[in-house]
Amino acid sequence: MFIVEHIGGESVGIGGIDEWTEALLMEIPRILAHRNDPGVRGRFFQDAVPSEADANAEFRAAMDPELEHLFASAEKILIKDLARIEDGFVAIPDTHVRAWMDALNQARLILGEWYTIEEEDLRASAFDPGDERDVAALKVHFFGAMLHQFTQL
Amino acid sequence: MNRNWKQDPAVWSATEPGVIRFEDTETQDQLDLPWNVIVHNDPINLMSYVTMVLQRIFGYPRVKAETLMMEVHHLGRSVVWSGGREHAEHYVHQLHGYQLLATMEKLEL
Repeated sequence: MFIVEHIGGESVGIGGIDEWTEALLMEIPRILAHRNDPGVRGRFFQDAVPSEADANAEFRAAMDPELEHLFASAEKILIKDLARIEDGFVAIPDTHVRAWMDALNQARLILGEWYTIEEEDLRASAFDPGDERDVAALKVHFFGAMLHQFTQL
Repeated sequence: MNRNWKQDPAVWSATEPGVIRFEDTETQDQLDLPWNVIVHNDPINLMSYVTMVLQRIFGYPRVKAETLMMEVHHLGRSVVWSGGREHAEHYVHQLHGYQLLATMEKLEL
């Protein structure tokens, strides 16, 4: 099981990355590539003032490009860090923690939108490895377990 | 509200002798109305993640952040902050950056 912990020197270590964990982490960039798909994009780029159309449009025009940049940066940082995994371990600077959390959460949300995963799906105890939706829910759990460890740093 | 109607020029003015006209202050009141920042429930975001985000953005202590998070979880939404419009926009943008579902609305009186 992976462990996320401070290792000193303003760094965070992600250890215990077995082959299965590494394979799932390597899937994240492929999942994030679907962030702008129809049906997914709306989850990330939201209306802020639903009661006022003009104010809302103004908000979106100003804020959406910033969010695009934020989400894309997180993805780039994660991809670079993933390439440095060696012997089941990678050390990342503290400054990359937000990017990892963003990327892990984005992956969860994209899977959630794709497969319309609800709370009861995440509570289900039955698992069919041949069912794409069950596999997606498992990945949401997996990325969530790592994200939780980041929140506890 | 106790106001001195004879001395407060904001609420009356004499346009002709013997006539007192009350000023309409509703427009100014509307401008000053605070805005609520609302976080909405979604099935994917982790409870621990939502708690951490509320602590980071608003500087809330853990207990308060957890209380608000539980309100979101059980009631479907929670007013996490109230105040001026510009600040509300800033906070909603930050919440969107953390991928929480968030909107803002004018406080209803």
